[in-house]
Amino acid sequence: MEISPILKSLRKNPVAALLIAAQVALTLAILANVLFIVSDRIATMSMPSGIDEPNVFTFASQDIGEGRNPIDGTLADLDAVRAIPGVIAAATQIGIPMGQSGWQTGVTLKAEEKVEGPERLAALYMVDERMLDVYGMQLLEGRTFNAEEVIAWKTGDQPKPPVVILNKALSQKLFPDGSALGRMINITGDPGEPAQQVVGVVDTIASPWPRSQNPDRVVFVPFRPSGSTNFIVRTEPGELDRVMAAIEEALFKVDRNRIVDGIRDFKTTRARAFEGDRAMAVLLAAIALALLAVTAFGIVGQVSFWVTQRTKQIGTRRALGARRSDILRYFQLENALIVLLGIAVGCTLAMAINGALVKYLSFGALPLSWLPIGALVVLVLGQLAVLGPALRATRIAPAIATRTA
Amino acid sequence: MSGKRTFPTGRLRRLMWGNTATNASRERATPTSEDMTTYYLKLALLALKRTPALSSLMVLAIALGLATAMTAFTVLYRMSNNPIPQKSDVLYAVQLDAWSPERPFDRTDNLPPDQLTHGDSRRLMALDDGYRKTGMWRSSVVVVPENTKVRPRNAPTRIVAPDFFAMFDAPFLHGQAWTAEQEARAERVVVISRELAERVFNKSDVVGDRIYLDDEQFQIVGVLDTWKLIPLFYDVTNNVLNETEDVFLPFSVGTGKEKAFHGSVNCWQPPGEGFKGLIDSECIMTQFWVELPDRGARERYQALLDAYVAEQRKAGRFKRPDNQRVVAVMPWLEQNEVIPRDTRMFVGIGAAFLLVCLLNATGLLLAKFLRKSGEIGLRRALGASKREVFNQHLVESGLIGACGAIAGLILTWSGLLAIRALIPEYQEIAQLDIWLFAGLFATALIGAVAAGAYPAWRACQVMPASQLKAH
Amino acid sequence: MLTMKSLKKIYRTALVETHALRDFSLTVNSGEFVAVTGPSGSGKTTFLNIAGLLEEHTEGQYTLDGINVSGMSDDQRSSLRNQKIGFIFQSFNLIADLDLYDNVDVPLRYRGMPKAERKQRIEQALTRVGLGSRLHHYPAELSGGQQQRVAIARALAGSPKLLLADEPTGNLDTVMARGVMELLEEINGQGTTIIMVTHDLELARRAGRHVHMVDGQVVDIAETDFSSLRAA
Ligand SMILES: Nc1ncnc2c1ncn2[C@@H]1O[C@H](COP(=O)(O)OP(=O)(O)O)[C@@H](O)[C@H]1O
Ligand SMILES: [Mg+2]
Repeated sequence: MEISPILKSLRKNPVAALLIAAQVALTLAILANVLFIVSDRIATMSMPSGIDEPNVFTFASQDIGEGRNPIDGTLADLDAVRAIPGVIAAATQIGIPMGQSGWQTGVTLKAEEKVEGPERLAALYMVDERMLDVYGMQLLEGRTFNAEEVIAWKTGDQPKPPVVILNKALSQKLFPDGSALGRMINITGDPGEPAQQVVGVVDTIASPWPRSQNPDRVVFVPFRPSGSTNFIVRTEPGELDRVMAAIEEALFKVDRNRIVDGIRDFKTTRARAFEGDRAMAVLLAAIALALLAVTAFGIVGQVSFWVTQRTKQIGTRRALGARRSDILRYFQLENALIVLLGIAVGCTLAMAINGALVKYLSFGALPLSWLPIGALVVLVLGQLAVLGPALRATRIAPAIATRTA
Repeated sequence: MSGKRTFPTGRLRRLMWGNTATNASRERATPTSEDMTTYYLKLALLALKRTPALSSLMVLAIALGLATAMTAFTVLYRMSNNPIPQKSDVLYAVQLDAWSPERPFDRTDNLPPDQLTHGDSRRLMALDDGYRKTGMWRSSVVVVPENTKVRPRNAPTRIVAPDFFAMFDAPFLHGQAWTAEQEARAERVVVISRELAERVFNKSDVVGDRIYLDDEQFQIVGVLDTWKLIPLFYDVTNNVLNETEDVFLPFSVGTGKEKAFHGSVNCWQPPGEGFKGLIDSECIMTQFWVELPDRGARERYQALLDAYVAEQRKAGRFKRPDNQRVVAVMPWLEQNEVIPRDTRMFVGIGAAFLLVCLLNATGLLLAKFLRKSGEIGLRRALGASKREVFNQHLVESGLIGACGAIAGLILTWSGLLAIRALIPEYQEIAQLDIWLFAGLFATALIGAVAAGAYPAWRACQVMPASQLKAH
Repeated sequence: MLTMKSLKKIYRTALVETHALRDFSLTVNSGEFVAVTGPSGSGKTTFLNIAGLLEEHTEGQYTLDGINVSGMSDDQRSSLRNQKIGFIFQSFNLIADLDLYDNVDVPLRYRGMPKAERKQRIEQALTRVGLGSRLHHYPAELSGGQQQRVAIARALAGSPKLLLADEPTGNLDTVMARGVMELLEEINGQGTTIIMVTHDLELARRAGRHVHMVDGQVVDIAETDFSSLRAA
């Protein structure tokens, strides 16, 4: 069977075929964009945090009233937490990876350097000498902070430490060609020569804002937040739930006059950070499925009608020597031609939709590779949809040709 | 039937294939004395019953398309809600630009910063201009209940001037705002929400009672009734889907007690040490709103801001070009892009999907109507006019649209349920109201009738009497 | 050309069994022009369908051009049909969406013929039926007689050995019917075997051989008075 008679016949009755082609075009256009957005969101959601996720949890503690000295109180709290069996390390924290609140600071390299925009922004994490244990993280170069370098920090203090540690992403951003070790940087915004020396570089760690433009740049400073602050705790594998259950009691033993809340394992923190992305991915995936179903069933419905309508024609073709496979092929080819027309228009349309998303909503540009993927999906979809009615067409008896008026 | 040259073109002859004539005699055209619309509806119902698979396919397609578009649109509509329609034209956010002389706060549109420094808020509040106004920020306090068995809890708190309540139409259940004198003396007074009152005291009329906040006793001067502002427009640096706060403290008290700034503190140069250093720095951390009843007031207030900036320049501040302004509620929400871009994208995708579903319905209706062309020819032969055939099929499309709307409503409702489950903070956003419901129904009907127009036109082109001549 | 021995055809539906052919035997030699007559429901179309491999017989033996067709697969029957048989239907059965050229092209396509040969055969066939100048008209633009000529061209284009026609003139007026008959006679004259079912006794008489069917069987009609058959 060749294409040209199918084309001629379609040209004679274009409307129904064009309706299907338009539907396929829109389906492809939506599908390509939706698949791209969903895959993009899934990639975002699986962004590494750099920490020992299954064994980390966080919580907030707040003293009520002027009962105890915040610095001593925090040290006592930390001792109590570390004493819980199964705890590997614990620390107070400003900012938790993916925790969505914390500090951000601009980083400059020279005196009076003017840095525009978010390029030089980095999250600022306050850590103590146990930072590697707390996160379950690797040191790449240099050293971590000594116990003597770590000073207590309370609300209102400005962090101006002599030494800092960078993570890999920030180190590469600031010093693309060479080691950051020993270099001086300015994280305070103070005028004058940079006063913070880089003493170490650690592996990947996420900032508190994984949805920001620079989700992975972090500078660590040697401070131990005191008073009302967040805690981060890392446990032995399998001990997380037990330690989380015991934490409140342990802290109330130290001092009852307090609020402990937001006890949250890291899985939950991550889920909260990407809640919107997950919702979008789920909703869009559902739309994509519904879209494919609607288009497929639409094709089934219309082709079924065509089969009924062409019963006599098919019988005649069979009488004139068409095999069942010829009839099947006719419908398959016809569908492929219609879908191909839809694909041609759909690719343009997909780029147009993406163009609008890029222009008005600053979404990412659709990689062209999604077009052939989407095209393949609708092509296969069309072939599957046409199969049922087409097989029914092959069962039309050739005797129809003589038996109907 | 196709032997005689009854049909002038191949297209029309093709219409006659298929074996649908059998049903025609069952519902022979009745005298036109019967109300035609009822008659058409009866025919449409019959047609639905006769092709249950094709019909439910169309109903389902329309329902799915509608549900997707409407779910997305509901979220958009509720997000773009005017939170305070009675006053949205007189409440203005104040913006000043004391940002870095070296770079603009907003690099794309050169908008002024979205917040004010604490100092600017203080000084603008101190001006004796006769307008209601308030600087404010969000914080939290520890509420210590009388009952020692109940654990203390943090309560969302807003630090405001006494004008706040009248400006934003805060609904007092009991009592009223604190006075300007109490504000000036930083008295330990507080307005709380009904929910908090009931949680702590098990009753709402607690005006005059005392409540422990952090480590001090406060006197309750007012209790607010349940108060919803969606979105919570007066502070866009926090989540606009937050509920209104439970505790409202005087600005002077919040400042004196060094209440932390929840939301964002944004600096272009390092602040001084401690809370004092922060509130006297160029860091922005407070929102500022003013009520300007008319255009004249707006112009006078603009002049006042200009004068304020000019005066501050003398003190070496405001080194950027003039960029002070007031912005009304709806433009303010617009400017701060309160509607997430995902929501807009979702609406676009939903609309495109609806279009696919309508195209789908058009194709299926075309198939459905043309399958009946034998019957149509007979009707025409029996005296139905083109218009009558057209109307009959349009009614059938409309009926399918109505069924689609009902099914779509159920699906929309489940879609919103899914959104509420996926994004808990959309509890109030993902809700259907009566207008949306009406809109849904109208969209479905209009959509289905539009989708059915072409097929109905094709149906009424069928030649009359073709049935009779063919045999 | 074809030999049928004791053929039976039984249509089974849920309620009834219809014996459309009972103990039907017939031999048609190459080059014959056989007219088949008989009252409505006597099994003429059934016979033609079985002869043309559109349907399978229930019992008995059928040999077409020396090939025993019993138990052939659907595909084998299709290609045999395509190569050896041409069909002419009462209602023409032209495909309305295709022009004359493409209509005649249909069976040739299924034979997988190269394009040039198809073109030559199509033009030749259409010219032969007097429609050589209207290759690209559509069936709806032709009269009934012209349409049937296209159908004949379609049947001829594949040079079939056997031409089967089921009341080819049934939908035509007398003048047109005569024209079609003359065309068939001319084709038969060039060697093609023709079996034609007809109600028109005038035409039946013009055929070389006349077979009359009653109730699924051939009735000997050698000396029958045709005028009495009309009433049957
Ligand atoms: N598909 C079928 N199913 C059942 N009965 C059939 C079928 N086709 C034909 N018949 C019956 O077989 C008998 C012969 O039919 P047919 O060959 O069409 O007769 P003719 O062409 O001589 O009018 C008739 O009684 C008819 O009702
Ligand atoms: Mg017959």
